[in-house]
Amino acid sequence: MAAPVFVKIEKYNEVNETISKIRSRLEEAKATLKKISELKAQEDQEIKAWQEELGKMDQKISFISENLSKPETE
Amino acid sequence: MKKEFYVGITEPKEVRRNILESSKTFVQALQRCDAVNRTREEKQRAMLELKDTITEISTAATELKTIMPDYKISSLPKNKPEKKVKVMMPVRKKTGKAKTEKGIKKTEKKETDINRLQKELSTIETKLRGL
Repeated sequence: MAAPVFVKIEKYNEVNETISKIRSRLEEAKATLKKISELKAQEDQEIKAWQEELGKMDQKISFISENLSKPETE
Repeated sequence: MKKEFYVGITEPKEVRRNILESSKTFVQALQRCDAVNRTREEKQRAMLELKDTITEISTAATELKTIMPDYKISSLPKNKPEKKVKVMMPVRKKTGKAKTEKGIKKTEKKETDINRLQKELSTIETKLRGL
């Protein structure tokens, strides 16, 4: 087991303040990243729905086209 | 004069329905396009916000590095755990003992040899004196 090393820190309070500041910013960053992830998921979902809508449109246009291109003949 | 052309539609209601529905879907797709753009803009803002936060973290980390004392690991005294020394000591003693015993034996052998030689020498000297 390694023996502990004691280091003199002159600005101990400042160090603590900086560490708490970093922690606070890290929490902010985590929250923002979560928001980005949620937005990305939302965007992906919207794009997927968009694709589905385009597929439906394609089907409808194909149906109309088929009806118009194959006229009833006597 | 243009010739008129008539097309017979077997399912006119369905065709009409499909035309209306496809128009509706087109409008919805355009709306979705706006929604996707809004989401992307919001995501872009969030990414810029994240970038700013990370820059702040980086600045704070540099500040922390400046505040913290600058010690080099090589400059720190090397620790010799006492327990290890204690453990090592008996081994050393044992080896020391063994070595000394062997040494003693060797020195004894050397002494005996020297003594023998000295005795031989003194014998020769006495013989010489006797001449």
